[in-house]
Amino acid sequence: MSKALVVDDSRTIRIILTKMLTDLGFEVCPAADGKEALDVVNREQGNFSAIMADWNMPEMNGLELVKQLRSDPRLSAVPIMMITTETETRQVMAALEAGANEYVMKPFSRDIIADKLRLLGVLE
Amino acid sequence: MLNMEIEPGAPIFEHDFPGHFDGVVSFVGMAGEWLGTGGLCCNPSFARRIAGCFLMMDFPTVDDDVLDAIGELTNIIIGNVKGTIEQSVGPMALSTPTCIVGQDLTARSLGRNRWTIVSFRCGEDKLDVMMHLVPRVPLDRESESRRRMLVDF
Repeated sequence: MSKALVVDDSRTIRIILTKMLTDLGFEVCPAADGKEALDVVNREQGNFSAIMADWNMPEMNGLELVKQLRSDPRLSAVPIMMITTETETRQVMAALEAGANEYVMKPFSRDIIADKLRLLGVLE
Repeated sequence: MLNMEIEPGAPIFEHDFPGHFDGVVSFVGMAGEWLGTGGLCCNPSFARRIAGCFLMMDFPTVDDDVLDAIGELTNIIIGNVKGTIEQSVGPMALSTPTCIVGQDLTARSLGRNRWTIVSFRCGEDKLDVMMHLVPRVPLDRESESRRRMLVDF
């Protein structure tokens, strides 16, 4: 079973994404912030098919998290999707330059998430 | 995400913070070349209903999960408004939401600001979305250069 990492400081979003991704056939590992996400990565030995991360998080924001994830050789090829309300062009470009592969605006639906995952080659 | 039918009301404008609440209220700050606050307000019953739609479970009381859901809804709504108005007022940062529940609450925002309030009806329930924005007051040149030195530091 494919495994997905979901990183968001909002428990609501973690629950919603977990349900959506579980329905799509993923085993989901949630994390409430960037530091916890890195701990989860180490615990799971980087064995993820996809990573979904919020932008605005305390202590380590999404951009910094993406940079840290991309510096881990185990995750160099894992698709990363930012889930956020940020639309400002510079923010979007910064995320993509840091190594994020896709960008999804809140609010989102399960169909949107599924379409994005198919575009990334994670879902058939 | 909520799958709710809602009807927007006409916007109303009020000076001073519309400060009396009886239910759940959530605020988020915005800062850039313009400064402001956005927020949502609804009664506890509707807050539980919204959280229930988000999380597909029932909430008999307004607990931490309900407050988190309302906070996230605030983040989504005000965040999207911010994304639209940034085209006119420039980039702004959004704070993390603060959500409060209580009866007979009175809140006050510093300064005399013009608030825009839009009520959304969902059957018998109502959600107020409110926001105010003011341009950041430019400092005089000496203060501005001092501010820039601190920013660069």
